[in-house]
Amino acid sequence: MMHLYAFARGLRELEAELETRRFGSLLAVVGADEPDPLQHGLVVEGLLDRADAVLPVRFGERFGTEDELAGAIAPRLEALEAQLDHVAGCVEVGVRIVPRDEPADGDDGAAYMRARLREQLAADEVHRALAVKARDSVRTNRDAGYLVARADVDGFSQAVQRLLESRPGLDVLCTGPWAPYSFAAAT
Amino acid sequence: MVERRSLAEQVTLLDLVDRVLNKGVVVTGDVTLSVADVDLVYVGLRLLLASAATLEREAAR
Amino acid sequence: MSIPDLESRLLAASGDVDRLARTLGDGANPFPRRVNADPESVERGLAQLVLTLIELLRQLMERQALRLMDQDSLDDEQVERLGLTFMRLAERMDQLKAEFELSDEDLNLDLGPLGSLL
Repeated sequence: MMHLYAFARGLRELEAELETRRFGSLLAVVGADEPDPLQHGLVVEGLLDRADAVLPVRFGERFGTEDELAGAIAPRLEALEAQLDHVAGCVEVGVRIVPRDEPADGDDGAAYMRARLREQLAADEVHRALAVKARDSVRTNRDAGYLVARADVDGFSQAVQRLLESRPGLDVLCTGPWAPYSFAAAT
Repeated sequence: MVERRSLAEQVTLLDLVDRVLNKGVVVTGDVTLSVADVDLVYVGLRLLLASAATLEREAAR
Repeated sequence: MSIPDLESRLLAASGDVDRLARTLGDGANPFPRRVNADPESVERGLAQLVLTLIELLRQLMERQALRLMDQDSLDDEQVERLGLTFMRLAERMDQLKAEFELSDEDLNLDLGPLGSLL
């Protein structure tokens, strides 16, 4: 059984238990051991410092044979190479809005909705301000990921801090740098 | 002496595991997303139970 | 990468998160530190770490399953199976906690406002 961790380009070194398989210009990073989700994540993050480009694979992709692995990757090779091009030299910074429990104002549904709308508009503003500073961004309602060049992470997180300071009504959590999970799509 | 995990560590730990389970490339992709998601939950639960079982064995020794 | 390196990946936080950290204890380590000198309790300490991790993952799994249920993505049989498995895991956790003499508080089960992050 092979467990697939990530695709990589420009890999300089590899941890002991891992192996690679080459497909086109990219390497599939695999291992024989069956990791739990945390171990999987730690391996992928470890690759980030050792390669020019890393595309994380979701937890659970396992293959019984080399043929199975090749059969899954070959038809998607072009898309995977394009995704690797897109994230090369970059990491992901995550920004989540933490919903604030407004004290229930009696039965004032309208007040609740107004407060929620204010929160939503503020969140939209923060996202727009950050998106222009990143190479790319993805967002669901409360969870956003920003693709940022490695060298720009400090500057980006300072920008996040400044935005937070100017918006005390918003509770936000900013984490990173991570491997670019949000920019690795199903193909 | 084992220090309790700090809040920062807990938060980023959860963040990482959430990414690993919900994001990233999927290449084994003929099944619909919902079915695959259920499989992921089962795989995760199976591993958790396995970890719990290992702990039990250690405790029994 | 190792688990302790994760701490540096919290880049910014505001509002309630800070308040949470401050009110629960002394700043960076909100939960009381347990100091033990004997080897038996070192073992307990390690078990504590592993159980905390298992509990974190269990919560994550449950949220994921609930999300799917909410989207009507699961059939009745799947819901039943998941429910039974989560219950079994909760029972196993209780057994282990008793075995290692750990309480809910020791495992920091309640993440408070952060619970809404996921």
